[in-house]
Amino acid sequence: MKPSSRWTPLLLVGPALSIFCLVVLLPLLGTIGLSVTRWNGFGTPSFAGFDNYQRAITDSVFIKSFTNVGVYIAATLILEVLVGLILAGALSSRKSTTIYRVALFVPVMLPMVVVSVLWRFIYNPDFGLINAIVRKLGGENFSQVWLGDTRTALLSICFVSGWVYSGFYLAIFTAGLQRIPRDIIESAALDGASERILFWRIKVPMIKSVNQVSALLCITGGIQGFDLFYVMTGGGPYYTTEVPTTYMVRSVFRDQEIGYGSALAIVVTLIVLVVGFIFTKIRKQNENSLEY
Amino acid sequence: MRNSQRSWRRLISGLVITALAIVPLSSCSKSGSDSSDKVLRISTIPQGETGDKVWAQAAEIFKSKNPGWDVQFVIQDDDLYETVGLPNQLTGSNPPDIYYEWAGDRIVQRHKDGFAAELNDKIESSKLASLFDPSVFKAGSVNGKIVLLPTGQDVTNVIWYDKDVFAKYGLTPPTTWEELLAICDKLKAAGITPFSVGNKDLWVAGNWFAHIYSRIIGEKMYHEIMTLQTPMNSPELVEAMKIVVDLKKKGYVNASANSIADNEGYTLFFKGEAAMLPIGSWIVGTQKDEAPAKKMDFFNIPPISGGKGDQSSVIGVTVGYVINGKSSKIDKAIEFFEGFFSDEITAAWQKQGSSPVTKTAMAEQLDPLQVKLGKLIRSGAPIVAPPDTGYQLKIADALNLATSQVLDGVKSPKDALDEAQAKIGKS
Repeated sequence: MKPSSRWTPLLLVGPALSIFCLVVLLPLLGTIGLSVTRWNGFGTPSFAGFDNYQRAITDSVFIKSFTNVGVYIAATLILEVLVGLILAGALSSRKSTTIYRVALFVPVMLPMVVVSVLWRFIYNPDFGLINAIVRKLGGENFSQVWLGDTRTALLSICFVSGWVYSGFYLAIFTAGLQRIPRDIIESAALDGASERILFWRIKVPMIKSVNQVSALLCITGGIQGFDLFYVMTGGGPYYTTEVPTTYMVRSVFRDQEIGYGSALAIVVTLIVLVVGFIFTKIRKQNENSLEY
Repeated sequence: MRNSQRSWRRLISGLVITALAIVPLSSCSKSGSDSSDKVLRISTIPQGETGDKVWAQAAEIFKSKNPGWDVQFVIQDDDLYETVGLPNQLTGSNPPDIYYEWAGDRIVQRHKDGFAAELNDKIESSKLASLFDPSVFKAGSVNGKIVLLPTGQDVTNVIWYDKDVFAKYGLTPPTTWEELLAICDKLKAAGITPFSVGNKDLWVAGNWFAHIYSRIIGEKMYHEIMTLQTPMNSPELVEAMKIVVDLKKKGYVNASANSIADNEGYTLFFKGEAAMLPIGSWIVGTQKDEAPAKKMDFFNIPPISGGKGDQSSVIGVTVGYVINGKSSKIDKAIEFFEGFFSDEITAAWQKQGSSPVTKTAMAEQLDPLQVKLGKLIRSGAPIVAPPDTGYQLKIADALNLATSQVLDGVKSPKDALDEAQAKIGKS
């Protein structure tokens, strides 16, 4: 059915397009413009050419932030996606599991800042819950300065992220597993497949696109991660938990180097686009495989 | 051909509609105040519950004399305010007419960027001239122009001690650095953490040790390092930083220092889990709010033998309020301050635990600790500027980070300061 007027599609798309331009396109163009300047946010920006980009690629803290976010993504692929998948498998094959699914989903609904503040208290080395339990059980030597030790700070944050988002991926995988036709599962069971084989060899391959989307969400979400790191550690100790987003905020708002921070933002954006592009290519290659 | 023409027309139409949609949206934002705006906006850091009541009292005085006017407060946590908060507000669509500041490099920058009104003539022609001794304006002046109305002279760092713990173990405030170390030995042997430091944001230990460095290397060299006239990894500062290594090795500072925030450090002290707390004069107000039963007193960093600086120096900063140079309500702001610095409000601040610097306040300090702090900062000893408020934030951060790395034992003084110098050398 054709629209009555040729302007109708444009008018319908217009509001969404204008919001997109206002909150995405214009700030992006503005950021690209600022990335080639030197500016402290108050006076007039001065042109700096590609100095900011040159500085970014030799900035050891910026490079380290990508290492940190790489470790974070690797850990959360396990703690969020894999744990979510295993939980979905465990709960989907049982009855009356609604209460468990709700309980595991509750952390997802909490604002991230609230989660961060809560876990800062739990991790507090002097009067936090974890060290209090460890000391009570007689393990004084096992109590740690969780967020202040370079060996434990990043993994402590990864654990919190897993606690929050495993419920989110549980919900995604549960929906995916429920779409698999029962007759396939039943016939595999009749052929003698155990629960473990059923899950890993039949169910998981049949929800390949869900797996891929979940992994992509986890990776892009990891690169954009900010509030957990900013509130829990501020990027410390000694940049051990510094990620690109916290470093950008530090450069722009603390060091007042708007131009340099903008260049960092453009670099991060390009990296996210490349990652998304690679994933899209991989997904296109797998388009013909059987899945539900 | 017709299809491609239609595609181009559609594209151009879409862009025109988008542009037309953006224009009214973008014109929604305001830039600066206009003359019909009858709201005085004040931006400040938290002053505690009792402090908020004093502000409300001052606002009522102004509103009663200016019907139709309102006073709005924007209160931000001081770590946020000092870094991101204030610059964002000043460049935002509703910038403050009055804002809290620390004297030093910060107000020089504000004046340079046009955000600090020059108040010499305004003070002369208003009641403010009679409320202050002219000498108190010196710290808040830039090239002879008064830009900061002082509300206090904060002693940025002294060593607060738990009087009950000291009495229990027969300890008295030390008169030398060696005596302080002996006190720490006794406390450690009794199972009490000598010092409680909440250094997650780097400035607590940063300020404490900056004062110690200035005592060892001299105030002049400290200033030269902080203004980039002398490299930060100078041998003298590397040597001075070994004092941090010493405190760390002996376990005199809480192991959690670099992972807990300043207020968590106060909690350890208030709960009696540490005997001493190196922090500034604002703890007096915090103690009244959070631990009114705590008995505490303070002593300045004791003399360090062999130190090249003045061993009676005090680390401190004048704090106060700046009137935004770009505000259209400068006269109204002056009127507000005439009420704010009145005897009535001054008495209310003193009761709250603060130490105002008006003539009346200086003559009648109520809190004995504030009296003692006032005597310390006005003793005539050299006043050392703290890194984060007296100097550029980047340089302060580099020094403070180096201090925290050495305090945690992850780097030697030389490595930490080499890294700091490399960082500030690149920017």
